[in-house]
Amino acid sequence: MMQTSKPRKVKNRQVQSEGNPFIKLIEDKIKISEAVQEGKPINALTDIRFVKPV
Amino acid sequence: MPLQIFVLSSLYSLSPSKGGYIFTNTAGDGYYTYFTPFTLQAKDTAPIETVSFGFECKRVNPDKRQVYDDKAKRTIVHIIKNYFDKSNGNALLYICLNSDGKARHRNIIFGKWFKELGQGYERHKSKVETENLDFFSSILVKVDNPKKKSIINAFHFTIDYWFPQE
Repeated sequence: MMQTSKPRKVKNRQVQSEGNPFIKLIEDKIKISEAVQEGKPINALTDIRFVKPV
Repeated sequence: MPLQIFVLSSLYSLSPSKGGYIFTNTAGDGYYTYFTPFTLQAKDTAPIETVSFGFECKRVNPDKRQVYDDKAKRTIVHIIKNYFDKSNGNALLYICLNSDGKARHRNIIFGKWFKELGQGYERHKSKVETENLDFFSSILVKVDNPKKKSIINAFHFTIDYWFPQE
């Protein structure tokens, strides 16, 4: 069985927005989700950098 | 049936797309998997470049009750395993957003899926709640990765850095 650690919970924290990679990841995830649900090609999301599948 | 054919038929057929793979399940639902770069910050060393994984499902009949698709799970696990096999010891980040209040449930489901990777992998988790954000994040890393400790430390350091205590 794969080992997992207990989650560290970060509650009531401040947010450093400028340059925050998690916020960028979340924004990209939302854009991708909207594009997929609207039937638009992910290729059209030119402001998101994808890593080519290996 | 030859073993190879049996194994391949236990997965949906994959088509490469920009940054990931696409597959369609028996019901006609489209799955879009993707990889994006993610930089982990470290306290005393250079940043660690890694990759985040995500996927979206576009359902043919979104109003219809969704049936659990074990083959889709196996296909996604296969994509993740293939990434680790080919990425020369890297790590993989994943987040679950709670915008629909279902992040905990998804996080549990994906935890079960990640166990399918089997022995040799570790999953480290974190949950972030701020006034406007609520999400789970996980990082997967191979047990025998020589940089495992650095990667895990960097994962937690990055979260603490960008979501500092008040």
